[in-house]
Amino acid sequence: MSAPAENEASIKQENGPSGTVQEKPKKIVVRTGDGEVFELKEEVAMEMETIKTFFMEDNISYETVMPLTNVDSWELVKVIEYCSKYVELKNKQENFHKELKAFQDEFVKSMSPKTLLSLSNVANYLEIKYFLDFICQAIADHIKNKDVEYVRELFGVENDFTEEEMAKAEAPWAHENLDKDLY
Amino acid sequence: MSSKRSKADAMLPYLPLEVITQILEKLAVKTLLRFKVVCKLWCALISSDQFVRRHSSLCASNTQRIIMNPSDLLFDLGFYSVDGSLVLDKTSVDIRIGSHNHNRCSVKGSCDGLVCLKECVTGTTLIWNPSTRDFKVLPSPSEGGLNVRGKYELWRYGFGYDYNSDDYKVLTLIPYQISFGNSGSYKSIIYTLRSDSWRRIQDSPLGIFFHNTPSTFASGSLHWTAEKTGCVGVIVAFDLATVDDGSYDMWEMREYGVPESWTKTVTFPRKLGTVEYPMILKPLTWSIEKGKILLYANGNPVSYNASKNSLVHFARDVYILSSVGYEESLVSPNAYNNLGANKICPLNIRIVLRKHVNCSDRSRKFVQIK
Repeated sequence: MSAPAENEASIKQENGPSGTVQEKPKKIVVRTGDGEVFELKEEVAMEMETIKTFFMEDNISYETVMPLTNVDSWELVKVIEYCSKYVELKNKQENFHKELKAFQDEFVKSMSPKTLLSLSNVANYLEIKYFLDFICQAIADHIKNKDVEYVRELFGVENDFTEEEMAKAEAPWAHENLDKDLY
Repeated sequence: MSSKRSKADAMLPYLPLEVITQILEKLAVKTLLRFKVVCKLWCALISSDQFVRRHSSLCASNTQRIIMNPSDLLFDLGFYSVDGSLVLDKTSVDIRIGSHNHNRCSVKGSCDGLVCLKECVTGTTLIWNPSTRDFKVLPSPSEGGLNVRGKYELWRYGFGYDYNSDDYKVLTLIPYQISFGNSGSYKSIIYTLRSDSWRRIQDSPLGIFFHNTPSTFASGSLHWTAEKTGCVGVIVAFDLATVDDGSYDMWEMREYGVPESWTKTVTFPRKLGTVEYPMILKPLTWSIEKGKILLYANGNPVSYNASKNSLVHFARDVYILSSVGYEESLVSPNAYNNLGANKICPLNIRIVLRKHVNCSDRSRKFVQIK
């Protein structure tokens, strides 16, 4: 991956009928952890508190390329997809909840549980409150009927309880009627 | 493409704690109890005071329940949600005191997922969380040197949470006995979980007779229906409904203590049904969900849909004497007192929950009233 990639959402320069150049909507440029460069619409970029703070606090010029070392390009693509849609629906205002719900259902369909977890991490890092809330809800919905082994595998945690300790902490009746999933 | 896949699979060993918390907050109590054993970190997180508080305030709105205490004779509680659907079939709680099997209990109040119960024969009070099955037996008031005597049936109870001291309290009103019955004056004693003891407080005002219905805890105060001498009905603290032209209006005080904030929420008729089978309706609870409210109809519980003016019966085989609102939470009655839950208790008490497998839908009948 050597060639810098451009985000499809970036705006092309427009020429009016008289040939004058219209004002270019502002763009913010970021570089992901795996070296790809993205141009974001200002409107979308400002949905991410981390980016907003970076530019607003010290009045940094938009010429600067902001490093997002903890974010991978595929993750950023997904984040941009969600935030762009969210902003679009917010601006449109009608049927906001209905259309957002439809979009959310489609959005999670293609994602594996581990993907969701990665995205929750990114949403937290970029500080996008509504996106984090949505991803956490999707993860919660996924794990609510899973057994303990599955959850440990998914979250990558080790069981550090001794047999005794586990027996004490356990409530056997809470383990009934679960999905028989193998991760 | 392949790098994308492997990056996602090579999971970071730990998500930050705040993300895990946000995920766990959205889970039900039963699920959280199960996940306590995932690892020690999760156990500590789920058990922490902060998490318990936050979770119970988040899940309270979607786990509103009514606990039906059909009678004081059998301890069979049914947990119902506001649309009348049975959430948890009757759970039976066996309380063994000494060598006898006592199961005459009544529900005296509920707050934050904790339920205050009284065993009728010995007068023992318990605080219980039905979702986590954690419970605590309260010491008897006389243990603290308080002089209390008299028929337990006449005692009145209130159970609630004190924001100032972050403590749960049980208020008991014990009527002063006089030769011709209830004098309308009560000795007041209060128990707190933190102190794990009872103490005497100022007596309630004279001439108020409290009804034997569970108190409601709202906006930091306990509320009882009562009567003033001269058969004047009063509510100590706020009024539940006003009667108006054969229908009840349910009013909600949106901002506590602000008279202007009374807002009408739902109207339901006082009487429904046919001439041969009239039903007298009375409110069962103040909780309204999606335009539905639970009412008593001739002593049976029904779910009333205000916009359609229709009723759904449920639990037809029980005659309800008392009921109390309830929501799920992780709050533990044993977490407030450092002396610990494992203090030696002279009463041999064991709580056993048996779940009846046949969750009955057969009792549901849709009655359209026009």
